[in-house]
Amino acid sequence: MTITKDQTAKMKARLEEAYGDKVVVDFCMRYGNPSTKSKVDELVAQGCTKILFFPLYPQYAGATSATACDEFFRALQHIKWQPIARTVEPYYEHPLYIEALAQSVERAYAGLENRPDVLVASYHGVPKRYLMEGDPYHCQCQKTSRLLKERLGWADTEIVTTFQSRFGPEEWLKPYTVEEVARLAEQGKKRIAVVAPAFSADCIETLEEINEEIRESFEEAGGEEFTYIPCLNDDDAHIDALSAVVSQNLKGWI
Amino acid sequence: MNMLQQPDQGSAMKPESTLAHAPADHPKVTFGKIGILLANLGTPDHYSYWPMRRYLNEFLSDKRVIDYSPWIWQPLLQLVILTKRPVFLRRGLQVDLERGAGTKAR
Repeated sequence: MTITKDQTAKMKARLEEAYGDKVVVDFCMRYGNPSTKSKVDELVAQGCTKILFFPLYPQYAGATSATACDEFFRALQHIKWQPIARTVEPYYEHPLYIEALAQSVERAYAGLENRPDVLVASYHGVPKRYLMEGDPYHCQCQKTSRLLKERLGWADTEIVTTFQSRFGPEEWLKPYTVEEVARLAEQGKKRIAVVAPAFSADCIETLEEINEEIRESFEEAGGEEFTYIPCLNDDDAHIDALSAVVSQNLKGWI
Repeated sequence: MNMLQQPDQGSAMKPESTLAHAPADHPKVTFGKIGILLANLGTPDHYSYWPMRRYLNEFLSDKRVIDYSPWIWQPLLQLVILTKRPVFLRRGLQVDLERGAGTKAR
């Protein structure tokens, strides 16, 4: 929540500089507080007759972007003067997002004495069934890794794409991060770095799951050096990317 | 005006004004701004049991997240998953109900 607040404050400064008081910038949560409905009501009360709704997930998934948009549309249902509404498309292939991601990797690598053998790009998982039923999330994650690799100018073997946070009895998108890092250690990749491109801000799933559970799995399998690369959070390059995405999506409105 | 230009919808009236043709007791109207609403997942209000349970209930009852039939899923969720700590401690998002108390269960 603190990170979301910082991101919003920086975005607000950036966008108000560009568009003045024509825009009102705020944030909401899909679950818990501040609720989407409370923030939509506030925007309408402040005179917003148009709303650009921006789910902060680089890759689309039904379980993230779509449910956030559902909640937004529900919030519009009871408003007498319903604002004109737009939702922002996934931004996983935006050059500035890839740039911010690449810079975060380069920064982390520059601070290491030994270069990691492999970079693990770990995305939040979903049941495999969702992919089979038409959710494009898996494809967008794979493309993110490819674009990141191309921007870094690396060989195919230097980056692997994995999926984390599996729970329940079903098969999820594979390979599972927690298993893959152990496999890498057993294959002799003793130094790895992990980046979580699907998370726009650090949270329990990155700070605790990656940096504790997944790290332990790697170390128990004989891994020696584990580097966790923080999420983009309120990095200036990240704010540049998000602001550019907003500006593109405001076209025709401003 | 160039045909392609957008009309400036806010210029005919000040952003907050009383409408000339509306009933005299009509409240003031504010309009013409663009809201930019960033959305993220959310967090529980506190990491104690009830706020955590409330939050997880909202999250895990979302059919976009878990698409099982509610007839099967809700009893399981309400009676087992949200009641038995260890089960939902297995999932990253739900770690550490008692973070405030400094206990670590994993």
